[in-house]
Amino acid sequence: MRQYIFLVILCLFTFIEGTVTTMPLVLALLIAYAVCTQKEDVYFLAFISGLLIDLFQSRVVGVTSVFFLCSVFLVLLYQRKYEIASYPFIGLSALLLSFFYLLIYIRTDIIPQVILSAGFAELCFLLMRKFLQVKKMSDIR
Amino acid sequence: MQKRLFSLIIFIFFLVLSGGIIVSQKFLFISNTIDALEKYITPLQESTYVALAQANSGSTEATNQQKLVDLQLQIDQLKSDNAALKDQFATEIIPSTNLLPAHIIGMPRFLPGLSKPETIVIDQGKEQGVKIGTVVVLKNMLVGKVTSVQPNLAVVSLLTNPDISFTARTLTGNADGIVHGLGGGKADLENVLLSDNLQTQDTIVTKGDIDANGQGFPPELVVGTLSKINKTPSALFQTATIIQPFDITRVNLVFLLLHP
Repeated sequence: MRQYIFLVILCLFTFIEGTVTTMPLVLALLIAYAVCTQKEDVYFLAFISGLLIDLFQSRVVGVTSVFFLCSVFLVLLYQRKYEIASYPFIGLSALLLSFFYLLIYIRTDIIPQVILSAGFAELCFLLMRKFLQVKKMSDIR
Repeated sequence: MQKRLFSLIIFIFFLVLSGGIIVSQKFLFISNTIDALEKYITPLQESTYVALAQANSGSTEATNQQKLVDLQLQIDQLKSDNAALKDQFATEIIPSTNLLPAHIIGMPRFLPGLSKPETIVIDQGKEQGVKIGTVVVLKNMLVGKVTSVQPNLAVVSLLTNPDISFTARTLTGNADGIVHGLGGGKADLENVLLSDNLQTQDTIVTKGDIDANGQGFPPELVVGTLSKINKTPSALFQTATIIQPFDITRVNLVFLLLHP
């Protein structure tokens, strides 16, 4: 049930990002979801939401999916080395990945959007921890 | 370890799928599917945007003020379009039945004071009969040609674009040469024989290079005037710098020369 609620929220944010804002909301949401669940279905969500954003923003369809997939892969790559389900990790990864996303696709007002996006990722993580009941790494494995 | 491998396989699968979609957009069937999807998505986006704009506009007074500003903008736009259309249709050299008016809706990579546009985006596309190679004019002056076309949009490469070159001649001296875009808002008349007489302020017009498919530049369209002539006795040819008779950044409406 919770997964479906997340899916609806993801669709909503994909629509908002494709229509009214350039802030990488979906990327922040995906990072938080990847860290919280650490399941492979995040790749599918990254792929689909990337395709939809490309369609909404009239980009070459598939390029955002590639970026989202690589971002999620990079985030999950660190799960063996660090405690990735932590606020500093979420903040830092959202900061860096949003920066590169905005640098590649948007190129305007990068700094404020990166900061807001990192804050949004932290908020998403906080809410997901609460609702998906993930507390630490041991809960996930 | 097995979980990691599974995760890696899933990642590679979706990555390859995305790559496949990017590459296959070159093929007709998938680009048609994407165009069809965009057709359904655009009204949805538009209505969301309008709804959000209305929600942000606040009080009735603010809404009325906004409507007034919008109407004033529409009137200004119509006045400017009317003037441009009158000018264009008064031009005798191009039959007005073949002209399709198009608004300039974008100038990629144009930064005022820093760079000049080399391409413009117009609001007419495949569905209105625009093809790659369609010539774009303003009165009797050449603007450029269409180099990329989508259902309702087209990209026009201007004369100053390095990808553009065509044959032209001077009006007074009747000297033939090749107009070649140099980028940065500049273009040259090149390959002019040393024996030909080039004069500054002489007007350059297209020589006409329409092929059997109707593609190419028609003759007698004004390209610009000569400003600086480079003639070296030891060189094979002489060249000259061209000044365009209009500033594209101040133009809103251009005309596409469609074949009947």
